[in-house]
Amino acid sequence: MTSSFYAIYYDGNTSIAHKVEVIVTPTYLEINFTEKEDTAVLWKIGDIQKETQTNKNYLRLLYGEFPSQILEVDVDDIQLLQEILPLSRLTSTSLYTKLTNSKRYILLLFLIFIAISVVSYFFVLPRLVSPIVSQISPEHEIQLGNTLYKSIMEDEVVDSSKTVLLNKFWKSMNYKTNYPVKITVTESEEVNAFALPGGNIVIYDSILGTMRTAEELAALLSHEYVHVQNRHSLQSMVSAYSGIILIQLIMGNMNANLNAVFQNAHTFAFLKYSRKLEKEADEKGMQLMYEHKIEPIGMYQLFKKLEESEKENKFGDMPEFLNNHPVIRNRLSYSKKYANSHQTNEKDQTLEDLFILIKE
Amino acid sequence: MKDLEILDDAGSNKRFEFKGEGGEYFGIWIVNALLTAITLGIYYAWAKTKERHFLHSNTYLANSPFAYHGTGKELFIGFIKAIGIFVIPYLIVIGISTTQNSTLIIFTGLIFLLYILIIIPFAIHGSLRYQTSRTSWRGIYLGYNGDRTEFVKLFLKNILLTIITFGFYSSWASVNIRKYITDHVNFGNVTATFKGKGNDLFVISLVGTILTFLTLGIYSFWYFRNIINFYITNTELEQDGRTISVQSTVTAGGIFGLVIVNVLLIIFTLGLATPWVVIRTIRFYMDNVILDNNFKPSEIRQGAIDVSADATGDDVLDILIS
Repeated sequence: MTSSFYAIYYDGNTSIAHKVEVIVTPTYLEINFTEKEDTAVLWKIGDIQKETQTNKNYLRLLYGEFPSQILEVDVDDIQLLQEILPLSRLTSTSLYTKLTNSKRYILLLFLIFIAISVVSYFFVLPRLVSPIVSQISPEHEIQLGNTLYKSIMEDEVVDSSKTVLLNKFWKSMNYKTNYPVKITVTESEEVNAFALPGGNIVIYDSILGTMRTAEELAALLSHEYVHVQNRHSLQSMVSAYSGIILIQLIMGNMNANLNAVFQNAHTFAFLKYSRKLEKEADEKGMQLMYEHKIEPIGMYQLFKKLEESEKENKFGDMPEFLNNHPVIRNRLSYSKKYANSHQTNEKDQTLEDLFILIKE
Repeated sequence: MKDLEILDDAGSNKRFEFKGEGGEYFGIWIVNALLTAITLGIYYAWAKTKERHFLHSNTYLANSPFAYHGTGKELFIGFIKAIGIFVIPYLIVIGISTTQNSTLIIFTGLIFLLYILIIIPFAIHGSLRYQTSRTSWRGIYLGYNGDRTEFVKLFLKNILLTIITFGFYSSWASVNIRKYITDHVNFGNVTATFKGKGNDLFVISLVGTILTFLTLGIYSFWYFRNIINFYITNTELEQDGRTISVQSTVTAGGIFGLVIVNVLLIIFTLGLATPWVVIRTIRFYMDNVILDNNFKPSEIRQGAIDVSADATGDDVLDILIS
């Protein structure tokens, strides 16, 4: 049985679009030019090649040496060829085409994608932070901390006599440390203190002004010491950057808007992460105080001072999910609970004396 | 049987047309995005190729479609090479930045920027050679026969002049670079040339900038129209000794419609409408560019075809743009 159909033929050397009648025989495609009779081109079935179908309206068959002759076949006529051509799968039935043409597959792929993203963000990523952090040597961490310290200190005024006293106070607390802990007191209206990776702790003198007991100061130093000792700054950095890199990998190819939405979501998640680290510093700090025979009630007293200073400025009522520290109410409650059940009933005279000097 | 009446060389046969649909492109786009994400970017080369296949095969001139012949494998190999071109110098920069010697860091940073600047013309050259040699229409291949050294020199000279004149020279630089590229593109025996003058582009830019500022941005649509039309109408083709002029029907109103709807689509779908935006934009250009009657679609002859170009330049350019 022979069948025929019309198609468009290009000879590979000129741009003439020949309208041809193609007669299908078991061994050849006979290509007849409708505009001039008596001429025909024969294509041996076995040597015909197929181009990947990329337009839903037609399929292109190739024949001969490069630049090949081309036959552009309407999709409706492909059926006629399918019976005789040994071109397996004339129509594009690749997995990819199936995927792009089926709403069900797209949806399925989308769900798999969401699942992978969720699993890697919420389960894989958090477990990667510690191994990555442990790859960074303390020497590098100290170097990084010193660089940060230098750039931060450029615009700060250091109170050198209080700095000396505070370092003495710290030495007298007798905490074991892997890092060269160095305390710097700077002059500032702001009630604040922070720890840098590798051992530098910066304390603003306003916070010292509000303190009434040596335990409060010990509590502050204990809190910052836990940040240093447990490499919290590095953990935060790694957690923040690895999240951003992951989102970039997943969303980078989609578009900028979606990317931005997820980046912001990541910032919120990151605030939660830093609240976790702050709570750890509070709790471990109190444990250390108790172990070194310093009354943990100092932590509660310190939070009381923080509460007062927060009331003075307008940010006191910021909800917890917008804050990088736990809300003060919670900190007051868990520190009170711990202090009540862990009383040392001891006073360290050296710390007391140093505290009086610091307060002068 | 569908309409095969394409043999006529008159009327609509001078027009470009894009026949792909947004929904169709969305399927390709979303599957590509997901596969690229799942494979952590490795699929990118194949994704890009599928996209080009779709876009080329749905672009018609004189009722016949273009075809794209590049493969994902080519683009992937190019991508690996491109990564090498960036990663090694980048690692050196990172290494040096740990030394904390700020003079050295600034110096290295400048060298790196210079390196990137020098890469750009090489990448453009490679990308042009690759993409043209993988594109055909009615079996006739496009080609780019620019000389690499010549182009790199021309490009760097013009960029340098633009930098030392604080951007003042940019109109002339754009025209010179565009002219070199256009003049070296051929489509079988059809050649191209760019007739635009830097002076004209400078006047368009100067007037455009001032009026856009004075009208609080409203004039920008006319400004864009002038720029687009400058590039389109100054391109001339030549076929068998006949000059074919390229005409444009782009209007400020048309650009306004295109841009406003595109922006709204992107904002309200958080970007998921990107495929429709891309297709609207392509269609806008296709619908507004016409070749004059000297163009004879059936009289093009195959020229020398050089398919030796690899995809490295194309990938480098892609990395630099994205």
